Amino acid sequence: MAEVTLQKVEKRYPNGFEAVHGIDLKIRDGEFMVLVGPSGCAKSTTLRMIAGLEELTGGTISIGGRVMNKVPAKERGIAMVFQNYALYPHMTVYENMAFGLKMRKTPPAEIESRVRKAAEKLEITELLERRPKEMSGGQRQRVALGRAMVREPDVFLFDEPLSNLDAKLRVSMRVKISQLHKDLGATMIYVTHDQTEAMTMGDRITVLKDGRIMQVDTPLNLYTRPANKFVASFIGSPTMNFVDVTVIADHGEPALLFNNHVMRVPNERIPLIKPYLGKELILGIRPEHIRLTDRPNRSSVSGRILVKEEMGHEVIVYFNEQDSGQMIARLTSDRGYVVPIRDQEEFEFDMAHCHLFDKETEQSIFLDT
Amino acid sequence: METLTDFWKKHAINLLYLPALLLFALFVFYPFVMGIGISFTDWNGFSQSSNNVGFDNYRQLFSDPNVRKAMINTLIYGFGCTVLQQCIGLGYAVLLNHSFKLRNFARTIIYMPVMIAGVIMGYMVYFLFQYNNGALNDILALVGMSPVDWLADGRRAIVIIMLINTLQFVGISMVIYLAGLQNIPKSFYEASDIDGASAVSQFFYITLPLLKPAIVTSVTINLIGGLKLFDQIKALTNGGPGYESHSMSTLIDATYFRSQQAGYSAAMGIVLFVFILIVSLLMLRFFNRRKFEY
Repeated sequence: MAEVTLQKVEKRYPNGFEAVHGIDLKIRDGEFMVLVGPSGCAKSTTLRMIAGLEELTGGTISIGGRVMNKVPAKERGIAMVFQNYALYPHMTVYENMAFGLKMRKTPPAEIESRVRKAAEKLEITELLERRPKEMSGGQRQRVALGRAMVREPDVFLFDEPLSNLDAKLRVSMRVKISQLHKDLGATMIYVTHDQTEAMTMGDRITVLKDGRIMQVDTPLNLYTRPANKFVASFIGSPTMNFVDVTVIADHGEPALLFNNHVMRVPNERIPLIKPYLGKELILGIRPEHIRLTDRPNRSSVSGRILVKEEMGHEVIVYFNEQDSGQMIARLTSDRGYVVPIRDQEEFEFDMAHCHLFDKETEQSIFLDT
Repeated sequence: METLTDFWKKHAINLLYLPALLLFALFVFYPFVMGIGISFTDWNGFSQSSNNVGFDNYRQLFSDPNVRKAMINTLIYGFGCTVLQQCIGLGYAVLLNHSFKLRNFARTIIYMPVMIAGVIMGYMVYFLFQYNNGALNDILALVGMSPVDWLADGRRAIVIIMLINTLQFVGISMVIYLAGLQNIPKSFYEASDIDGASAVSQFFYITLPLLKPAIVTSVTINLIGGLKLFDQIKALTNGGPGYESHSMSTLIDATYFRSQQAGYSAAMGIVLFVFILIVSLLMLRFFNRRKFEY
C-alpha cells in the first residue's frame, strides 16, 4: 500500500499536442480514487503515466514517497487491469496469473499458493486450466483482476476495466472490485468515463477535462457542491438543467430573473449573489429539484411536455419553457405527483438546492459557503 | 421457370473460377497425370514410341547414388534455406517494426530481390563468383591475393546457393513476420512490462508464441520453395561440379534433357512431389495451426 502523488504532471506529445496540463493530485494510502471525464480528457494518459507506460514531459510522480519518473513499470509496485483484459491468449488462466510472479523469480510453491488463493477469492478456480478464448468477458475480467491481485502490489490501476461488459455484469463486477478494495485495503486508481461507476465506487473522484483537473472530492460533494458548470453537468443523470438568469433587486433584495420569472435564493446565499447585481449568472438546477405545482406564481414556469419516460418509481419529464430550451424534471411518484402528466404543466424550482455559476468563468459562486 | 438472370445469380461464382480451373487442369493436372504414366515407361522424351517398364524406374532411382546425393542436397536446400530465412526474416521484421527514419526504404530494399526472377538473380551472383573476371576475384587480386574458384567446391557451392536463395526470398518471411508482429496488440507488451518481463523474456514468452500462425505460413512457403529450388542452381552451377550441387529439380531437368531419360525423370518428379507433400503435411501437423483471439 502506498500514497501516490502527482506534482505539476505534464504530457506533451512530439506533435506539440499537450494532453496533460500540469496536474497536482494526492491519492491517499488505501484510497479508492476514480479518474473520470469525457473522452480525450487525459484520464487514461494520466493513469498510464502513473503505471510507467507513458513518459512524463514535466512534473513528478511519486509512489510511496519515491519519485518514479525514471523507474520502469515493473519496479513501481503497481499492477494494472486493462480495458481489453490483455490476457495472454496462448497461456492458461493459471499461467496468465502466474506470469508476473514467474518473471520475478518467485518460488513455484509460493506462485501456486498465491494463484490458488486469488482464484478462490474471485471464484475462478475451475477456470485455471482454460485459455482466455474459452471464457466469457466477465470471467476474463476476473482473471485480469486475479493477475493483478497475485502480485500483491502497492497500487492497483484500472483502465476502464468494465467498459467491455454488458450492463448487468458491470454492476456485479463493480461490487466485486469494491469488495476487493475493502478486503485488500490497497490504493486503487480507477479510470472510467461512466459517472455511475465513479459515484458508486470511489472514495474520492477526480473530474478531468482537456487534461486539467476540474474538481477532486467525494462523490456526494461532487454532486451537491460542484465547483463549476462542467462538473455539475458531468456528474448526475439526467444531467443538471442550466438557464441564464440576471441578478436583479426585487423589493430591495437581490433575486434572479429568468424569462419574467423572479426567483429568490435562500437567505444565507443572498450575500453571495449581491456582487452580481445587474449581471448575468448561470442557474443550475438538478432534475429532482424541479417539481410540479398546482398554483402558478411569479417564480413558477410553465412547460410544454415534450417526452415523458415512466420508470416505475419516477417519471423523467422533458419540457420546454419559452425560449430557454429543453429542461428535464425527475418526478418521483411516491410524493403523490399525478401520473400521467398533461401536455402543459406548471413547474417550480426548489431554490434551496440551486447552483449558480459565473457566466464567464463558469465557476460556482457558492463554492466557498 | 428459371430465368437467365436467376441462372447467372446462382452459378456466377462457379463460372468465374472456371477459367482458372481450366488452366490448372491443362497445365498442372494433365501434365501431372501424364507424368505418372510416363514414369512407368522408358520414353526418351522425343521418340514416338516407348515401352512399359513397370516399376523399374522407381527401383532404379532408389539405388542411384546421384539421386541419393540430389535428395540429400534437396533436404539441405529446403531446411537450410528455411532456417536461414526464418532467423534473418524474423530479425529484420523485429528491427523494422520499430519506427525510425528510412524504415520504409529499408523494407523496400529487403523485399526488392523477391521481384527479380530466380534465374536472373543466379546469373547476377554468378558474375560475382565466377573464376575469371568475377567481382570477388577482382577484389582479391586488388589486395594481392590469388583468385578462388568459388563454385568449384561442391559444399561451398551448396552454401553459396543457400545464401543466395535466402537473400532473394528473405523479404517474404520479413513481410509475413511484420504482419504477424503488427497483429500483436500493444497491450500484451504493456501488461508484460508491468509483469516484470525483460525484452528477451517478452520475445520468448509473448512475441514468439503469438507469431505461431505467421511462423507456420512462412516456414511452409519457404520449405516448399527450398525443396523445389531450381533457378539459382541452374544459373550458378547447373548442378556441378559433377552432381555435387544438384537438387532433385535440377537433376530431373538434367536427366530429361541431357540424359534423355524422360521416363526415369518423370519417376523422380513423382517421388519429389510425394516427398514435398509428406513434408508439408507433417509440417502443418507439427505446428498445429492455432488462431488466437485477442
